[in-house]
Amino acid sequence: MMISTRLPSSLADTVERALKEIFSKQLKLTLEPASSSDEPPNLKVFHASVSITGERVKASVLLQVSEAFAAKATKILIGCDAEGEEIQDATGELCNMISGRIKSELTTVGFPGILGTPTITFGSRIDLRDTIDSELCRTEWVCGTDHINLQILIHKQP
Amino acid sequence: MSLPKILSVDDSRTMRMMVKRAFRNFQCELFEAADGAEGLAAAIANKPDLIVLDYNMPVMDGVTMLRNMRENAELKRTPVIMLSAEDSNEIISTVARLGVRDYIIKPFEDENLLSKVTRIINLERKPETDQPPVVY
Repeated sequence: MMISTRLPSSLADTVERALKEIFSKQLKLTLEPASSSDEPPNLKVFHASVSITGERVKASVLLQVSEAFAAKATKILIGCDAEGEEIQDATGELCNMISGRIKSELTTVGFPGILGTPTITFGSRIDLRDTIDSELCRTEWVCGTDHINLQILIHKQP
Repeated sequence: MSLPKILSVDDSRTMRMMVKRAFRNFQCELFEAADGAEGLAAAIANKPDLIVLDYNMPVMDGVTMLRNMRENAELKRTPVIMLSAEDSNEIISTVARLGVRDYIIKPFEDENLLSKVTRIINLERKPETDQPPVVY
C-alpha cells in the first residue's frame, strides 16, 4: 500500500459519500445539504459517537439527530415501532456504519485505524472544536424535514 | 426434520433485529447473543448450523470468539459469516485464516445476507399463510 502523509483532500466529500451511502442503502432515504436558511431547530438531540484509532490517526465521528428522526430511522431499520434503548442502539449503529465507511476512505489514503464501540447520549447540540494539530469538518444535512448533523475531528499523529 | 439453527452475535440489538428480520420468511431457528462470550456459550449450548458474527464487540470480540470456536472440537467446523462495519484487510485476512466462509461489510441488504447464507445451508421458505404482514 502506498503511504500518504495527507488526509483526504476534502473531508467534507468523504463525509458526504459515507452519509449518502448509508442513508440510501440502509434507510432508503435521500439527504440534501442544508442551506444557510435551514436553521436547525433548537431541540435536544441524540449524539452518537464512534472513534477511529490507528498508529497515524485518531478521529471522532459525531452524528446528531433529533429524537423524531432517530425513531423514524429505527423503525426503518428494524421494521417496527421502537422506543427508549432500541432507538439509542439504532442511532449508535447508524453512526457505526457511517464511521466504517469514513474509516475505509482514510485507510485507502494511508491512515488505517480500528473502529471503537458507539457511545450514545442525549442533550443539547454539541459542536466539536478543532485544535492546532487537528482537522475538523462539520456538515449539516436535511432529510425531508429532519436535520442531520455530522462532524468529524481528526488528529494526525506525527 | 429439525430446522436449521442460526446464531446471530452482535452487541447491537438493532443489528440482531435486522438479521432476524432478514430470515423472517424462512424456516429456521434463530438464536441471539450480545458479545463473543455469550456467543460462544450459545454456540456450545445450541450447536448452530451457521453463525452470523460481528467483529467489534465488548467483553469478547468476534475474532477471539472465532479462535475459541476453532479450538473446540464440536465447533471448529461451524460455518461463520462475518457481518461488520470493520473492513480492515488485516482483520479480513485474520478471519479468513480462521475459516470464515464469507464477510459482509455493513451496510447490508437482506438479499445479500440471504444469498451468502443459502450457499452454506439449505433454507426453506415458510408457507405463504405463515408469513405475517410486514409493516414499514
